[in-house]
Amino acid sequence: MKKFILFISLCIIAIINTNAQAAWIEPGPTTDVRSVCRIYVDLSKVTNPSLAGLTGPFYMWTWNPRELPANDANVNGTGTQPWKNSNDNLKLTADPTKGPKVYYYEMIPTDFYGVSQGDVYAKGISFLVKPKDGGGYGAPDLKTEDLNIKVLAPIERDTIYTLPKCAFTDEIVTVMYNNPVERNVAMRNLDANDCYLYAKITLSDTTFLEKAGFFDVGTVPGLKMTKITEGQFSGQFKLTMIPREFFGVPSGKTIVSAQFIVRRQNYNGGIDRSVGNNDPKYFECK
Amino acid sequence: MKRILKFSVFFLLLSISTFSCRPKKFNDIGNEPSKMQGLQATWILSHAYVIDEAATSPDKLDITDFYKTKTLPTITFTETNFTAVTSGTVKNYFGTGSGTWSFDNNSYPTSIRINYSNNVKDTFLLGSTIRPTDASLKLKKSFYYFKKGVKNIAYSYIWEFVRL
Repeated sequence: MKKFILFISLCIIAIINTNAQAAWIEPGPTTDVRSVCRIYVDLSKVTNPSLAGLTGPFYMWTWNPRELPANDANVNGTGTQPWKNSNDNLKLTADPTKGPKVYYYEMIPTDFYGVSQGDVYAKGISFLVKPKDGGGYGAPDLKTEDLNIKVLAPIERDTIYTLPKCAFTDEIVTVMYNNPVERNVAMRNLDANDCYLYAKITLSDTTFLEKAGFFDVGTVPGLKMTKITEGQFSGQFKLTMIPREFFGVPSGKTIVSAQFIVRRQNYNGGIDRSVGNNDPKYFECK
Repeated sequence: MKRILKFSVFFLLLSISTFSCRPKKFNDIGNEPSKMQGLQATWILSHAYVIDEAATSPDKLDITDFYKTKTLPTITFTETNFTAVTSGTVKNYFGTGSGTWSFDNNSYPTSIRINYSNNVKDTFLLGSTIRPTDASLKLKKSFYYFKKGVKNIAYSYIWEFVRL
């Protein structure tokens, strides 16, 4: 019986170790890769044992989302045998607060790799860790296995948002209402004919404009939003406009910000309106 | 008799191997279609999209229905001249509406350069090739904003035109 319990315990420990995370990105798996991030590796959790007896320094060798060319300051290795001469710019820093064998590399991924944020989210970050001289050329390689980190794009939009995010007074702007994720569950699955937009805009001279008062919105056909029935925005509603014309913004003034609320055509209280979207949307990319 | 039979079989195999390996002759595919001629037509807008380039994951939204609330723009390319009819449309993105045009590369164009009548220049990216047989013309234009002196991409439009 003791042997059986010991066996089961060992199996559980083995499973935990197998699934333990050897590499990750901070601040978290959902990260804005246009800001500073840390790529972490825990060498006690990698499966390739070739670095086990080494104490460092260690270097990152990376190829995804893009392998940097030979003339780049952050190329993986330099000289005629780059694998034996890692780039000092890619030296990892120890982080003993996270573990005795935890190291990180700090970067802004889009700047470091010279790619768009979309590339980072699509391809992830792939790298391995090695000493400056990674062996090879007849000698055994000294390196971890390939480590792959999937990076998720942050959800940056409210339930009501403008598309483009960078909205201008004199350009085409679409106010979008992401009805499927509405926090007021009574408002979800709105009928195509039952979605109206209330908008209050603040102008550059601090005055306000409304197309209609909140309680009158349901009687103004121009404030009816259109339901999108196919594609990536399916289920959402939209209202496209050129704000200056739509709101009658006088010449010489621009929109500073806008507040949006979506409601049903017939309003009978709080259950008939969107919630939690009162943050102003700033115009002119301010 | 055996010899004759052997020779016959040998020549038969030789002729099969020789002729079966001969490459087929292809018909002449003719001259490469002229993109210059492909563009020369009057085009009317059929679809419009906006791409939110400043968003973390750029999204493409169809805004054709907004364009359809007013007159659809048309553009005409002749051998050297460009005209656009934008009166009554939701918004004019074609300057003075007249000028001259050129490709960046006449054989393999990736963009159209417009020199408007007031000497203002503009460039539209080509979304696909434009041969005489191509039914649609796709133009893309990106817009930028400056923040703290840094130029950032804000959004792009894709306009799809069909031959009128």
